[in-house]
Amino acid sequence: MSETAVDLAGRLGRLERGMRRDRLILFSVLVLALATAQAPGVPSGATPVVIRDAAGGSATLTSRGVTVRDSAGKVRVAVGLDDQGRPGIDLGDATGQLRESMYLLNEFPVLRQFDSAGKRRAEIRLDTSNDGELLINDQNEKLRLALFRTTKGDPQLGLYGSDEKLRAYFATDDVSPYLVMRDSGGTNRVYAGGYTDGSIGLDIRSSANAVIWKAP
Amino acid sequence: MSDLELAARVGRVERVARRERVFALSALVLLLATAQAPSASAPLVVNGPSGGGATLSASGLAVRDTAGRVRTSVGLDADGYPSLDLSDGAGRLRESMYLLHDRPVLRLFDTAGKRRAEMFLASDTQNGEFVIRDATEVLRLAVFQGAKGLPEFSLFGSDAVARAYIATDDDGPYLVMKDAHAVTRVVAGQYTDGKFGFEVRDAAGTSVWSRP
Repeated sequence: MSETAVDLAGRLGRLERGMRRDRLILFSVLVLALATAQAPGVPSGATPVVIRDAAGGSATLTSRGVTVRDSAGKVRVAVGLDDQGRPGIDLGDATGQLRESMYLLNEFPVLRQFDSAGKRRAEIRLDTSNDGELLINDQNEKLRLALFRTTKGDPQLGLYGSDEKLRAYFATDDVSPYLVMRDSGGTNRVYAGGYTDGSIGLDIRSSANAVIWKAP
Repeated sequence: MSDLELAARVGRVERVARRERVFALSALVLLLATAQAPSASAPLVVNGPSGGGATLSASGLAVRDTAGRVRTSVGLDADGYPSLDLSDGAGRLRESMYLLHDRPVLRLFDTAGKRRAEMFLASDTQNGEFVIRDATEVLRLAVFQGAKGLPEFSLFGSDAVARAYIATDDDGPYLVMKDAHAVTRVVAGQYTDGKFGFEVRDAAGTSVWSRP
């Protein structure tokens, strides 16, 4: 090989190496561009719209609703249809734990408040008869207090023990109201108000459910 | 082809390769300069034909009526609390569901801005409460789980002092009625000694009648 041919071969080799390097750079640019591509700012079809603030918070509008994240990226508000298709609004605390939710559960409206352990502690809702009720649960999610309508339609206040058994209830039908107090065994111990025979009075009963005092 | 011509062609190819390298490097520099974390974006505003509109910002969604008043707001409020706020035609907040220091609250306000009804979890025990207040925001009725975990229904006078309550522990319930001086006048249900009965007391708190 002549000296010129040797020189050209060297230049060609450098050229080939350079083109391989350039090809790598172009490939890297393409990968980076695809990895950092963002949705356009203007809504278009099924593309979610993301609005961000300088602190890192954001709101995302999708076909299922709006989700708001705080600057730590935690979902704090979600309104729209949940993953089971139920309309509602969820509020999350700073840790992202769901704490308050208003939604349609099996098409019945409910508002629930959760403690930091995720237990349902208070709720207001319509029951399956479409009657309104307010329920307060303890930290074990045991029912302790309820305002509701009975199956007969009577409005009632109920107080429950930690075993979730009824201890006292105050209710009324169209004839007269009645207050009933029970012991831990479920026995009626105090009765005040209207009896089923239409009379009204008071009575105290023993743990064996025997009347020990009654008036009138 | 002579060596001279071949050298000229290689020279041209080298120049093209250098130029394209500059282009590629420029593109890379441009991409690196712009491929940073997403920056703040302008709110999305949708205006209705009659003047109302909805604005989606990073903090949430606000819906204005045709008078320009925000009637519905959902997202993080000015204090950073997640909330749903509903306002009346005068722009007054009337209903709010939010997390106050991560504590769930549902509040209903009258036209004077007073809290008239609310359901919430207590800040210390996280026990549930539902309360009704009068026009001066004085507590008049409450159902709740007390600090000891006992469920209770209470009625209050206009001085916010309890007049009557019915509560229960696991042994049995008790009903207490008080006069305006907070003296217990009627007790029904289970006493602290475990017995059930009725008792009536005078204004000094002395028992004047009891059964059995």
